[in-house]
Amino acid sequence: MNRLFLLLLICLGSCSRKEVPGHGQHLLELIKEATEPNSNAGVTGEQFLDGVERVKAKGFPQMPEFFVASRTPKIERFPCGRCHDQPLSKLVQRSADEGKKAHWSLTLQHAPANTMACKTCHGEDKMDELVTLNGATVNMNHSYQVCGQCHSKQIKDWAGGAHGKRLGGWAPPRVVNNCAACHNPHRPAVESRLPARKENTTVDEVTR
Amino acid sequence: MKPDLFPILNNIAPPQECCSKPSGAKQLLDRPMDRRTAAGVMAGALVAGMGLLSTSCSITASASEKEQAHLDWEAIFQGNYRLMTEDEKKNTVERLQRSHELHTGKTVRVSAAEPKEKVLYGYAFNVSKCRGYMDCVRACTKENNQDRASDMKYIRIHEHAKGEMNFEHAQDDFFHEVPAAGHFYMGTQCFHCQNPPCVPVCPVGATWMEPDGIVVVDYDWCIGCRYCMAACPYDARRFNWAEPQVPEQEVNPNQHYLGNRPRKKGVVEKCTFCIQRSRDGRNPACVEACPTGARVFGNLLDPDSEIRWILANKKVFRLKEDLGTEPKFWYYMD
Repeated sequence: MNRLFLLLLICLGSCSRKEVPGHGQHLLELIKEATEPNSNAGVTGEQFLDGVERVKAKGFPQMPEFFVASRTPKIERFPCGRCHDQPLSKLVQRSADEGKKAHWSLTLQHAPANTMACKTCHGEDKMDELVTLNGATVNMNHSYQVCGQCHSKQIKDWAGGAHGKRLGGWAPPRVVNNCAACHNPHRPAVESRLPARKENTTVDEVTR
Repeated sequence: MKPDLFPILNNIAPPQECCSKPSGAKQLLDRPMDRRTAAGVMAGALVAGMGLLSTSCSITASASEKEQAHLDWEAIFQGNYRLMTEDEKKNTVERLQRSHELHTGKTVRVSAAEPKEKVLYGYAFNVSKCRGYMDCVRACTKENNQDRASDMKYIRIHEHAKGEMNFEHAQDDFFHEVPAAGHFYMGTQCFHCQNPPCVPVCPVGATWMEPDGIVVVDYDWCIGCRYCMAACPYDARRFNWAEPQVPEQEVNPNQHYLGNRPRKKGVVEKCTFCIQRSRDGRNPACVEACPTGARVFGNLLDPDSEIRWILANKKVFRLKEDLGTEPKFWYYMD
């Protein structure tokens, strides 16, 4: 009789709580069970993108569709052909004769000189386009295709979302920054700086 | 099985089935109580009521003072957020907005946006990419109206010497050029555990996990006992020892009832994955501010999301996984 009573008590105790959905279920099981693409979830991140210019990413057939923020609006004096109206060899000769008049701030500090030169990425004939190692042209907005030739691990992570920066929100459309938005292609090393602090930090606090 | 410390709140019906739910005040008054408790409740209400009554009926008090007294009177009968009907939630956030306007002359938007269906928020942190710039910490403080006087931070960036990952030895209040040679950086904040140990210890049911996985606090229901802080194995919760100080011009007017609305003295607060932003489809402020892209946020129930790609393709780990807390916050490396 006592045992029966105890059993009844245990039953009542375990039934009395209403379970929150997902509570108690192993988190990874819950995630694995969600296999249906649900990318809209009734929300859009479009209003947080400030109408950023974008192009559809090319060359990732296995990935869900995503977009890359355009590079050309960010490049000063684009299109390059406005100044580069003569073949490159002539301009190089002019620089040698008259001294360097343009791109004076540009030095290539990316890879050893025997690996990389200007024309590794820039076309000699078509200045508005980039080139691959095989000589194929690449639109400036798809510059990630040029970077990805050597940085194959990074571009895989970038396309998946483990590398790089997404713009706007978590809700679709997925718009990510181009490589060159964060990494200066001519000088990609990231420099050190002081961490962000609140504005009213005093000198004492800084030097402490 | 977890101890059932607040059976009343555990047994409440989920919000979607509760349309015929009585108001918070009615629930308070309808519950069975003995004579002694009833006397206590009545005495408390009498004292509070007399003070408010003297203001609201006073001939010297201004109209705005009277309105404020009326709002304060209504606030006394405010129920637990989870017990509120749609209308009550609407009235409550409108009252909070009006109260802020009366106090400061500025308007804020307090949202009571509900969780989205089929959304479970998750977060990933790239240990290889974090460089200790702390832009996330600063963005978080601004976004969430945290107390400036005590320099409250939800996020801590730990500077580890290479060769170990010991939080006892790590520095989280550094101010020198970063990244420092021979060090790596790692951020911690509330991990929004799927099995949150902070929730069942709350004696009043003031903290819970929302259906979209965000662990929240009802600041008006918190009694400040700090049991949740003791229960959290990650030091994710913060306590307001004094009235939080935020300069009026720096107050973020985009607020959520369960998020960054102004707190008061003696309540616990924590990261809410910026609920006021995330429920609109936006990324939390720390994710947006991170200059290195070390922070990834998204929907765990969407197989096409970036966070799901990371879980499927990168080597990940969570802190103190053996505790069974199931944090929805993963670390990974390049």
